[in-house]
Amino acid sequence: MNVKSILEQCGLTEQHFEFIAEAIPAGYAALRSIVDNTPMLSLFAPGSQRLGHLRNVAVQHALQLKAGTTDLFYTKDAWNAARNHMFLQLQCGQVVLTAHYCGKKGNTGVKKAIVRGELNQRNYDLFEKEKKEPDANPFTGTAYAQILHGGISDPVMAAISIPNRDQTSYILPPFILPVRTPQASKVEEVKDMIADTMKKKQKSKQDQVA
Amino acid sequence: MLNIFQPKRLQQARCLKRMSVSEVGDAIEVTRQSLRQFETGERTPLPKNVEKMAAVLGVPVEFFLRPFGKLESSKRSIVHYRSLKRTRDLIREQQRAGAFLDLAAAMMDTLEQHIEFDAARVPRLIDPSTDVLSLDLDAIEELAASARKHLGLGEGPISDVTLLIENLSIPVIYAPLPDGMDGLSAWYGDRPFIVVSSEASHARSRANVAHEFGHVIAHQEISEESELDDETFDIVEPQAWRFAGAFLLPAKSFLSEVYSVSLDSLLVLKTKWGVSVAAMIRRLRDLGVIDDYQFKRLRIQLSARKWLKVEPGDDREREKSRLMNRAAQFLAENGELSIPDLANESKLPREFLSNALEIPPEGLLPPPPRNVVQFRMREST
Repeated sequence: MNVKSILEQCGLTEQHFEFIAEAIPAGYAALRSIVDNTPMLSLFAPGSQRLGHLRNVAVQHALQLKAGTTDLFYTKDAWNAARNHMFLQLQCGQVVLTAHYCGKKGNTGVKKAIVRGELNQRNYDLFEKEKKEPDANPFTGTAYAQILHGGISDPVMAAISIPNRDQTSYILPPFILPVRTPQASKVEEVKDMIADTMKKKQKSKQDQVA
Repeated sequence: MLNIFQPKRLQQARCLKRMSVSEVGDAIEVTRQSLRQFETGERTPLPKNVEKMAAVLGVPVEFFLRPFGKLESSKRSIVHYRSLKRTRDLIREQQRAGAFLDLAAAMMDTLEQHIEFDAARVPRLIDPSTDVLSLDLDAIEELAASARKHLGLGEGPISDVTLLIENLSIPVIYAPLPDGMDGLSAWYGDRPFIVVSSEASHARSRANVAHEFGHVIAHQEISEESELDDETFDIVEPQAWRFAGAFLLPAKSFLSEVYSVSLDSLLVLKTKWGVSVAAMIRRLRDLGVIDDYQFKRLRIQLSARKWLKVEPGDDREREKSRLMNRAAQFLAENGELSIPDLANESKLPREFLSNALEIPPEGLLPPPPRNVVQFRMREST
């Protein structure tokens, strides 16, 4: 049993994992593009030091942008318990996911949050007995998982984890996502083939006689 | 060939000049009734009146005598205009644009006297049993994707939309259409013709060409109807716009490059994709990336920056049509017919020829003779 199989039992498919794997580098690329064109963020130290916050915003935005073009996830903007921070909730069936930045090297933990505690109620059945292996809950198909990512200009780590109910640990090792850097699409050069559409008309015998 | 006055030519010339029957009648000093009879063929005008009409309407006298070729005399489909409004001015503009289409077919007839063109290779991507009007916009999105695939395109921006379509032996003509009339298309027999505004910017004219190409691909059967009713019009126009959006901005590749929906970010994409910021905003709404409220906000921002009519980057030179130009050059290079000779043979108005052939008006005139002996007065001793 692992994170991937639990989420698959709850209704997620390869397409969902691929969706997340594509959105994370897209978010980083988007932020990079904005930073490159914004001196306040690229050349101004107080600005560049805040990029850690923006990375998660960028990834959440990429997730939302992508969700708008597919039918894989619903999205919802949600407040934290103190109503001073907003974040994106991705939902597919009874599975809810939130995105979290784990530092430049991807080794920083996700802070505990009251509001995520409510989401974590979905994992009650999974970790009820505090065993080494959580119980899967294929009957209700409910789960709460965290999309974890880390890096500077490109993501160095992308993974999905299911937190323990106390939000301080993960019983199962995270499901590592392959990071796919988006390729800018190349211009489709149209070849000039107009000469092939025409040829000199052969004169008919009548024309030649005339 | 007999030189017979062709009544329909008078109507075409009048429409091109946006003049009413009475205005032309007043200018050449004949009654409105007489002019109407000239147009219907009930009476033939006197040669002096034909000369006057030519002078007033800015066409060569021979234009009125030009017989109708195979294409021009074949049945014309309905013309896909962008508006069905029936104001007096708009009717005149539509008649003028329709006359442009007729002359484009006439020019093709002239060229076909010397050149064999391939039949138009319009992609047949819709099952004949399918009612196009019942297709939803998602189906149109798929149609555009199929069209790109059929034409061998990947997911990236198209370098030259006009060339892409003319490669299919479909003439695209840039002509000075009035404000609000960005393009139109119609079939003459088996060959579609597209006319788009030469005044539109590079980005907007590409969208206009793609829009008309959408009509050509999707609405051929509808085009055989006698007239579009309002209900049908309200379906086919959004379909054509959706086709243009999906054809120029495929969802997957376009969205992978949309990092932000700010006007400045979209302006950066405009350079690469060759699509106006306004059209990109509409595409983002179509794809559900922005909602109606965000769409409205962005339109307000466009207006505040005065980008609704002219956007930054609109000074880029528009795409050129090549099909007729290349045919004319081909004849000239093979020594068959020089361009001024072709212009004379076509008997079409110079202004139109200049647009259709993408050659400046002076290029249609014969070169000044070089072997003229110069005389001068003898200086008195």
